[in-house]
Amino acid sequence: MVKYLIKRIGIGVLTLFVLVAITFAMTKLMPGSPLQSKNVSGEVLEKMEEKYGLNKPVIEQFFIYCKNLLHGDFGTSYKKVGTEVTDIILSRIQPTLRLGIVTFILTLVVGVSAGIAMAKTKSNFIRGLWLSGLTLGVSVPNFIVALLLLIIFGVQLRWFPVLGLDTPMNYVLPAIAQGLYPISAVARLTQTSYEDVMRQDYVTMAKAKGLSSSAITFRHILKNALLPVITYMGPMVAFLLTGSVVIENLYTIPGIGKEFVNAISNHDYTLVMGITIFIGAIIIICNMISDLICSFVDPRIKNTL
Amino acid sequence: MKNFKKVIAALLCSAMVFGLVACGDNAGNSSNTGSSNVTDAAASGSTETATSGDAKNIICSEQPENGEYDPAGATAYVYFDLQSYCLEGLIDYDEEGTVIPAAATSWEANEDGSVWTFHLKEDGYWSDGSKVTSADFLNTITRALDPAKGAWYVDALFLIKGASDAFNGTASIDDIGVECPDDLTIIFTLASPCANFLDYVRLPVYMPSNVTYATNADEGWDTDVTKNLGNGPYHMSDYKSGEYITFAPNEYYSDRDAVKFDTLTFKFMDDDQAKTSAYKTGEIDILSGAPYYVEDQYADQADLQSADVLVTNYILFNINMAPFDDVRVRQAFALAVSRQGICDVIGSCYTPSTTFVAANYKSKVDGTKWSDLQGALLDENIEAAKQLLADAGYPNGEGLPTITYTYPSMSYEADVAQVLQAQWQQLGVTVELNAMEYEVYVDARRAGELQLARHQWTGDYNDPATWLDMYRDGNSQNDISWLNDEYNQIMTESASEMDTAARQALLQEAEKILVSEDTVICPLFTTKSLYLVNPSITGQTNYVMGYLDFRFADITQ
Repeated sequence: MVKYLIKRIGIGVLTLFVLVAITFAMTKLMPGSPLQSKNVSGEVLEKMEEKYGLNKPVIEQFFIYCKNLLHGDFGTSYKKVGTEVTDIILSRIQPTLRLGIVTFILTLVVGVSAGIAMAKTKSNFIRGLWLSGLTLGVSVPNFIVALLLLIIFGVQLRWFPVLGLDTPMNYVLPAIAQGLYPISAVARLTQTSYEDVMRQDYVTMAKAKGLSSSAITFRHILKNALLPVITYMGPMVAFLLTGSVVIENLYTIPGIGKEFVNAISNHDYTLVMGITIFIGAIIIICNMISDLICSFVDPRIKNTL
Repeated sequence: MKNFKKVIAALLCSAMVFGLVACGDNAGNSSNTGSSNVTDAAASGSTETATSGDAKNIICSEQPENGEYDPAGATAYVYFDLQSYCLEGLIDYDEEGTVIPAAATSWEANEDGSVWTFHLKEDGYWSDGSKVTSADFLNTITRALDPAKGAWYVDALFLIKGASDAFNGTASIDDIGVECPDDLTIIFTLASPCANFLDYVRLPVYMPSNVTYATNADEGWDTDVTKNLGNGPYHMSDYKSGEYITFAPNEYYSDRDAVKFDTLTFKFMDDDQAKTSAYKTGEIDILSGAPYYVEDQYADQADLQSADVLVTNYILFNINMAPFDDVRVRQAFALAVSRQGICDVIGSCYTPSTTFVAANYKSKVDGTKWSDLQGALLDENIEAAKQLLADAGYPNGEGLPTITYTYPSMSYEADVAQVLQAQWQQLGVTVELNAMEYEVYVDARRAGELQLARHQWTGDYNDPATWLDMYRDGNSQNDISWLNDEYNQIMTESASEMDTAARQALLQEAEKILVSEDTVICPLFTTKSLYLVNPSITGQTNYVMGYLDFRFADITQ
């Protein structure tokens, strides 16, 4: 187990390093200077580039960046002058995190229970209805869902506020918009694997022993049926934590996804780098955790790696 | 391979760093709950304001945050909210663009406008109750002249004697031409005469910053509400990075009774749909920078308001590249343009303009709009254009090299480019279009690499010189290095002409050389900016710099 853990962490760190190198190279290849947008004169521009070390050779800049990174220093933003990138990331991740947690809970509760309900229903009509609903949920892009919810329930019916995340009511629309896809995916996954497990011999055995229905569902079926759901949860959590630009823009949530896109269009190199590394780390860690949980639930997995 | 272990060690170190960052989230998250309550109060307050009439908490949309809140720093547009509401400069303008006293009650200049003396008002107070002194004004200037500060408007200080040398480190900061003989007097000695220096002192670098708190050593002072004081009607009372900035009245302001709102919050919003939706639900009271389609949606409704912007969108000919080194070709291209044709495509907020100085700029002599003053500087005459092109040796465009029009890929620019392309087609010329990302485009344009480029200039201050100075010899904005002795001569003369009417006549003459005679630029259109304002808000004024001013507005039942 320890060996597996070390191996996974090693791969994660290596991936991260490659990510840092590639992102750094890409920001340098991006045409246009981050300091150019304001119409400052030549001499002022020179002084500013000197201040940020942009006049040094690219390789040297990279090593300076890596060195600072090891001290936990992501540098200061070019556009929000004097603000540490770390501070920006820490303040922007909070709204994303809050919305992400709400959506995550919503997804698990609704997705898993819907999946079980689907697997258990015997009516073909309801199954067909469910299935088309899920297909719709998976295939309609979230910006359309977000926009429809905003216009219908926000502007027309005025049931929910549409600006920011200030009150609990503010979470309803963005969480549904963001959650529709993962809910549908989780429901479908739960359904298929639940149906598979239901047909297993040990479930028939448990039924034959006369165990109660809830004991069979939770102890015997769900534990095994949720394995694919757990695998899916890694990328899903990463997806929720990295924020959706569309939803954050539409509901004016000052989250990390929105900041990321702003940083790119502003040519704010240090901020782009910082957020990329941060998001990269989240994705790597989330995948790692879901793999670890899987190997814990199903000991056969670690042998195959 | 020897370094392999080191690399692995480094990688592990970085993994630990991320671990720390991840831990930090929770700490930050829990401390945040307190401040989000403030937002609750502010957010819910506004929607109730119109009905309850208690606290007057107004919420206004603002573009996504950018830059600093330091007049001596990277002053992006959000800074200008702070400047408009919280800072009082030496002078101000009334609605007609006439200069009126503000932090200074009186001022005088010597006969050629090279020495300016300002007398500050006795009852000027910062929001902490301390007095506003000449040292506060000097503070911003000396801080901005520190090259490490990266002040965006530092160029405007180079008017002052010795300022440019101080910035470049060849002279001492103590030797610049700014003197403060006492707490209420400040004297500027300029490097060369500047008859419209009063317009310059509205720029950020001439604004005061409190000498006690505003220091370059303290990088975060500008977002700290206890340190970023206001000497104007309001001061910064709450701030959350990336979310909002709130202003509350400056209790020590000399005209405190005229300030009606309890708080004025600017929320940073990006998406047009989000802004209009939030306005419809009443979550914001003022939508600034509204998308053009609200003009139809809210036609004939009191909500829809607008402000004329001091901006000109124009084409810049590169006089150093064939075929635009020939004035006849430049004029042919300019005369073939139908401005109304462009405006019909991009929307009703845009108005054709043939002047380089913003069409809506109001004359300081009698308040006439500049476009009326100058008349049409360029005809729209396709036959004359064809003739000019033939005279230049390119009948029906034959023999012309490939011509490329470059524009930044933003909002309506692609539409403008396509209309221009179609209009130039009538000359027999096929123009290639090239869209560039904004910052890349700026780089290329400033390097003089673009043959035919879209350009746009918003006035920094309220005077024709903010446009016309750009194409003076040696100006850093003169991307095409245009050099016209007569033009430079007139501009130099106008700088020391203290008679407003005589000076205006000179500037009108200069503009005719730039646009009608030499045609290095071809003005296209100007615009207004749209607002949606809760109809119960009254008393806002149309500020001369092109925005609605809510400083002394009120909200009624």
